Amino acid sequence: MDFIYSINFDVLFLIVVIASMVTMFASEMMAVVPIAMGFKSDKVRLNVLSYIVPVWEVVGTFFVLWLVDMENVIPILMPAIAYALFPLFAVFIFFLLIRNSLIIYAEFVWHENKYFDERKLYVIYSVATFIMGIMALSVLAALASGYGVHLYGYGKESSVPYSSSYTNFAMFYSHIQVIGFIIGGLILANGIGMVFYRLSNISKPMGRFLPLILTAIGLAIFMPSYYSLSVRDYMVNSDLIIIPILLALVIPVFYMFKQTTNIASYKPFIIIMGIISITFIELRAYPYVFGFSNNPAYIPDVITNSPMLHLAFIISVVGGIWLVLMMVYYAFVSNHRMTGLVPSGDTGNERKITKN
Amino acid sequence: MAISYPVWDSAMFAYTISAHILLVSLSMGLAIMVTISEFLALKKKDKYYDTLAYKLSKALVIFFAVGTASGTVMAMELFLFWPNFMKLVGEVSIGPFYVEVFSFLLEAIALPMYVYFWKDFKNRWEHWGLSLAVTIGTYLSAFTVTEINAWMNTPNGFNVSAYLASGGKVITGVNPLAPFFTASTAAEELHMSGAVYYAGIAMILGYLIYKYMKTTNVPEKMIYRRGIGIAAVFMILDIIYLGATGSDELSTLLVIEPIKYAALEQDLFPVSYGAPEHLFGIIINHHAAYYLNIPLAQSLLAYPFTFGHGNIPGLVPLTTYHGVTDYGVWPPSFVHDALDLMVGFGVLMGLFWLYVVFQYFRKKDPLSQKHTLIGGMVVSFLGVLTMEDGWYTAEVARVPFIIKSPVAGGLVVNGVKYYGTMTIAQAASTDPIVFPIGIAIILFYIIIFPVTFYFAGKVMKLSNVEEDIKLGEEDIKLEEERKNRKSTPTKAGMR
Repeated sequence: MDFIYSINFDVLFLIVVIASMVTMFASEMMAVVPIAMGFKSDKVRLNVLSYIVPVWEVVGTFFVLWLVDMENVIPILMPAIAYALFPLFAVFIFFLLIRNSLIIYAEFVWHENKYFDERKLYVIYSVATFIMGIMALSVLAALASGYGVHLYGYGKESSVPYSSSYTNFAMFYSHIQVIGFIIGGLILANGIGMVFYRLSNISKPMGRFLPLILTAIGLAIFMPSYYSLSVRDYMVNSDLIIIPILLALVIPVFYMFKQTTNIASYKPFIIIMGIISITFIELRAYPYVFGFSNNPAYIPDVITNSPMLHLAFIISVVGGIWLVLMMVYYAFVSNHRMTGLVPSGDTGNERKITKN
Repeated sequence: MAISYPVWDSAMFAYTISAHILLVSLSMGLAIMVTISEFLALKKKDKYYDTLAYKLSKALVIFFAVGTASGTVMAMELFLFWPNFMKLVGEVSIGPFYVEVFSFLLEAIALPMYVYFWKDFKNRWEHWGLSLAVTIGTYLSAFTVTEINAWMNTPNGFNVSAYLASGGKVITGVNPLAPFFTASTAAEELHMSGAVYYAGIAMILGYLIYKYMKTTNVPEKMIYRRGIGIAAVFMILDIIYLGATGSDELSTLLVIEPIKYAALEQDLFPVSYGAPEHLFGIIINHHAAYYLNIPLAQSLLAYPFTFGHGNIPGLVPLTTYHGVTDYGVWPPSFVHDALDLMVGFGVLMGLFWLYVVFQYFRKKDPLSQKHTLIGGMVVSFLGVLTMEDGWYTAEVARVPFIIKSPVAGGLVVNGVKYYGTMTIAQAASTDPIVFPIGIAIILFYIIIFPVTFYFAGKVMKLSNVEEDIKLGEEDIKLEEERKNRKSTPTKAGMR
């Protein structure tokens, strides 16, 4: 735990940026199955699309924030990451292009279009988002574990050029923990997603318990996998893993009871819980990344020089506060809009649910 | 013949960025057009301006969506295709990029609210404020990225001599604030601002003129007429500004980047008076050929206040050290032709706008003259072409370096002369996967560009004019009612 107390502010900011990016993107991932399977349902269109349609633009920007913040805080490590994880990033950006283009086409597509209708475009969007999600989870698994990853150009391998870095993807994906991390993450997203988008009707037993069952199964696969792939003798923050488990369970449990359904499915609440949970998941691995690679990176050794950290500190504080204010304003305006769109009581809750 | 990694990576980046700046300039142009239109709608209580803002905002959100994806590709491409360059940027000059991301977030948060929550604002000025935020966000993004570009031309903020002496391994003396203000920042920023807005608004002008000529619907004509008016006034003021800032940019190059200046002007040997202007031509065997000579012109343009007396640098002595000329550091000679084309197109467009102003003062409506409208469409095409040409001129004139020398004419370290801090070859990725990924990106842009432009045009065409005008009327009425009530400050939503 001592490492947590001594953590550099810019590294902590990067960890929170990653947590925010993953949470925001996860909220899109939660929409993949409902859009692909139940697009014709009014509930899906109202509850899911009315959230996704404006917010997907903000999510895309978080990817760039993450990338630039990584370049800012750990520039020494970035060339090695670029070489080693190139295929994952490349597939990710290719499908990002498809995602962005198709969702905007879907929003404005005209009815008499012969080839594409709204549904087809949204389904392709959701497939592209799904593939991006698998790539993102793979990148996170590679960062946490380092399975099959060979990194050069820094640390004990600093005499070898960066360009020698590579990943043996057959070895990487042959680890059951990596597969568990990806599948567990996807199941978890679907469990939380049923609450986030209020797609489950709690007046029916199945609807009441399904989010909890999916979340529990997701956690049962995801957490041991993550624990295992990020475990090394020098990783000392293992206790922290209990926090995200509890926070993840709180959401579907609260959703089951009429008194707390409202708060459990309140989007800013879930987003904040998500950011806190993922921050603690990351802190569990800190201060190492690529733990099982040939050249584990000890974060305090690879962070940028001190003058740059001062500038990063100032920009992070000012930009971070400003970003939070903008997001609060967005949530405020969006909340009023959603009030008019999403009908009350659509979760089966007898009490009026008018705010998302 | 196999293509090398540096050539492939450069070609890929040139391709991606020339596509990306089209989207950027169009988004910037649309953002400022929307802001001006809604401002005029609220000030003049004119529903047609409001409708224009609404229609253009739909196009803005479409181009912004594809532009965001393209921008993310650019960010990833920098990281994946140029890892060594980005490592140095990360350690020395990431500050502007970092500010850029927050500007990008400003756009990304304000724009969805502006477009998708259009009807939810009681206070129309609050709604207009969002369009202003989008305009500021788009401009700041472009501004900060240009700061990095300026830093690549005149790097600062670290000890370049120590970096070069160590073979690019030691980075010391870092001042992270310095890259925000390099020797070339002011001149580049001034010219860039005018150029991207000019090109972006040129594209919108072309579209509006086309629609104005095609439609017979009177209310629709009223909308386009207002749009053409805003675009024309902006472009007339901008072309004057571009002439002044372009001249300033060349004068700055003359002092701080003489090698680039000499390559752009095809000057092989220095002259202290009477340097001619070469129109077009090429360099063959290190000698200029096939050019049109205008005596004295270059000296007079560079030193108007001393009637042409002043030093004009030459490529040969600038790139000669200890009696050996390093021709390998000469930029490709076509940059001179690219500069001439840019200036030539600028002059042609200036003459057109002069004619339009002349017609206006003669009380003749330029929109009633078919030849003026067709001229406007030609100018709109030239505006885009000139921006792309200008970009190639500026960037290719830095070849073979990705980061130039901080000292005009090069830097001597341990008896070795360095004309640049990092070459393209040193910066490029040598991962074989750059080839298939590059091909995928090329194909994707080839498909996405025409589809997106077609799609945006179709969406604009299919939007119902009567309904759009009705929305404009409601917006004006709402603002009037709010003013009349003189109530407490209105909150967003619940319209």
